[in-house]
Amino acid sequence: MTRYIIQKLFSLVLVLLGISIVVFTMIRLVPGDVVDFLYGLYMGSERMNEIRALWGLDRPLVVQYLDWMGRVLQLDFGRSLVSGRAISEEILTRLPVTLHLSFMAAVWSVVFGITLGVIASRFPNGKIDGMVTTIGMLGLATPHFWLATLLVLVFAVYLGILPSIGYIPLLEDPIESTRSLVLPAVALGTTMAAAVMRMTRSAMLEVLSHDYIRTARAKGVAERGVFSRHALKNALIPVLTLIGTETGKLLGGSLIIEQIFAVPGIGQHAVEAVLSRDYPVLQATMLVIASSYVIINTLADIGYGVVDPRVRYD
Amino acid sequence: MRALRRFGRHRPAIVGAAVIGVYLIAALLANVLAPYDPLDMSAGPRLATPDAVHWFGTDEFGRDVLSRVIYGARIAFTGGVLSASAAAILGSTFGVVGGYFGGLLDRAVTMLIDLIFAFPTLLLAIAVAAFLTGGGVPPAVPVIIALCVVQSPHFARVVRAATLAVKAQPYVEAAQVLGASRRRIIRIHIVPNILAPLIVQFSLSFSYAILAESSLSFLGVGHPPPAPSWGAMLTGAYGYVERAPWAAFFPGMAITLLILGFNILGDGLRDFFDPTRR
Repeated sequence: MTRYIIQKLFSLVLVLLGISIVVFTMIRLVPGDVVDFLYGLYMGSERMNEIRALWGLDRPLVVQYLDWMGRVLQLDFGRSLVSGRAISEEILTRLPVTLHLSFMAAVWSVVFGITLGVIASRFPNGKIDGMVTTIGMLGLATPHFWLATLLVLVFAVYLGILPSIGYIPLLEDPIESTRSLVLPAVALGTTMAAAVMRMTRSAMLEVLSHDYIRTARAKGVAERGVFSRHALKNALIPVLTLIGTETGKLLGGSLIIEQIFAVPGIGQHAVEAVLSRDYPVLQATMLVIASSYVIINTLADIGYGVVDPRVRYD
Repeated sequence: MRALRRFGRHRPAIVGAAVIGVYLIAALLANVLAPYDPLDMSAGPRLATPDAVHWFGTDEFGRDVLSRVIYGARIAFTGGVLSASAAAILGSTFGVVGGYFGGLLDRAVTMLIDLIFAFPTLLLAIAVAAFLTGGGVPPAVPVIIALCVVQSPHFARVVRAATLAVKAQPYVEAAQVLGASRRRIIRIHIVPNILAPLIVQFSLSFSYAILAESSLSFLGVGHPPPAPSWGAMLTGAYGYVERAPWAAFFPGMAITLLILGFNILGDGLRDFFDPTRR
C-alpha cells in the first residue's frame, strides 16, 4: 500500500511539473509577444524594450522559468496587470468560494445520482427505470449555462424562492451563503449527477447478477438488506472512482457557472483574466485550477486503491 | 450492406442519427429554411413573443430567433466537423505510432496524453483560444484549434489501446514473418481494425466540440457577436431573460437536442461494434 501511494505521489509531482511548464510556455503562444500585444498600439519599440527588461522578458527562457517557478513556490504570483493587486491574495480569498461551490455540487450530485441509480436498478426495465434513464441522458446533454438560465427563470424569477445572483461569504452568514449557492451548485453538478446515476445503475445491475446475491436471497436476507449490505457496498467501488474524476471536472465547469451567477470564485477570476488579457492572473489561475484538479484525481486514485485492493497490484 | 441492415435494427442509434440528420439539413439549407436573415435587425419588433410570424420570437435587436437558431446549426457543424476531424487525424497518428512502435516513442506519446488530461478541458480550451486570438486570425480559427488540442488526446488514447490489441493478433505476426513493411502492416492490418473505436470516439468528440464551442462563445472567447452561435445567443439573451425567456430557451434547446442525438448515436454505435453485446 505504501509503495502504491508513493508511486502515485511521485507521478503527481511529475505531472505538476509538466503543468507548470505548459502554463509558463503558453504565454509565449501569443502572436507577437505580450508586451507588443498590451502596449504595441501606444508605445514605441524603445519604451517596450524597457518594459521587457523590467519584466525580465529579455532573459533566456529557462532562466525566466526557474525564476518564475521559484517565486510561485513561495506563493508569489506577481501582480495583476489590471487591478495591480497581489495575485496570491486574490487567489487565497477566491479559492475557498470555489471549493464551497464544488463541494455543494458534489454532494448534490452524489446524493441525487446514487439514490436514483439504486432505485432504477431495483426495478430494471420498468417505468421508473425508463424515467431515470431519460433523466440521465438529458442531464448529460444539457449545457451548464442553459440549465443555469432555466433554473434562474423558474426558482428566482417565477417562484422567487432563491437568489439569482451574487454570493454571501460563508463566514458572514453560513445559511444565507449556502442558500446563495444552491442554484449554481445544482447547475454545476447536474452532469456529474447524471454520470453517477448511470454508473450506479449499471454497477448495481452487474453486482446483482452475482452468485453471492442469490445466496444471500436464498438464505433469507430481506430484499432491503440484499440491496444495502450486499449489493450497494460492492457497486459503490466503481462509482467512487467516477466521483473522484467528476469532482475534478467540477473545477472546469465552475468557470462558466461562477461567471453566470457572479460568484467570486477562482473560475470567474480565470474567465475575467481571459477577457481582459490579464496574463499573469490567467497563468496563476490556470496553474492553481489544474493543480487542484490533478491533486483531486490523485487522491481519488489512492482512495480507489484503499477500497479495492486489486487495483494496487497493477 | 448487411452491416447497414444490422445497424437498422438498432432503434436508438437510428433515432440519434435521425436527429443529427435534421440538424444537418438545417445547416446545409439554412438560407432556404430560415424565414429571415439571421443578422437582420428589422425582422420584427424587439423582444416579440413567439407567434405565427416569429415562431421562436425575436431578440433584443428585433432579430428572428428561429432564423438565428437555424443558422447556428451551420456554425455548430462547421466547428464540430473541423475540430473533430483534425483531432481524429492528429490523435490517431500519435496513437498508432505510439502503440505500434512502443518504446521511448510510446512513452513520449503517453506522457503528452497525460499532460493534456491534467487540465480541465474547458479551462485548457479557453486558455488556448484566448492565447491564439488576435493578430488578424479569423475568429473561428482559435476555437477550432483549441477544441482540436483538447480532443486529440482522447483519440490518441483510444487508438493506442486498439493498436496494441491488434498488434498482438497472430495475423500481424504472420504479416511480419512474410516480410511486410511496417508501413504496409499499419495501412493494411492496423488501420482497418481500429476503425470501430475511432468512429465511436468521433461521435463523442463531435458532440463535445459543439458543447464546448457554445460554452466558449457563451463566455465571449468563441464566435464574437453578431454571429448566430448558439452559445453567444444565450449570453445576449441572459441579460433580459425575465422579459424574453424564449430568446434564451430555444438556442439552449437546440444545443441540448443535438448533443442528445450524438450521445444516443454514440451509445448505439458502441453497442453495435461491441461483439459481446450482439
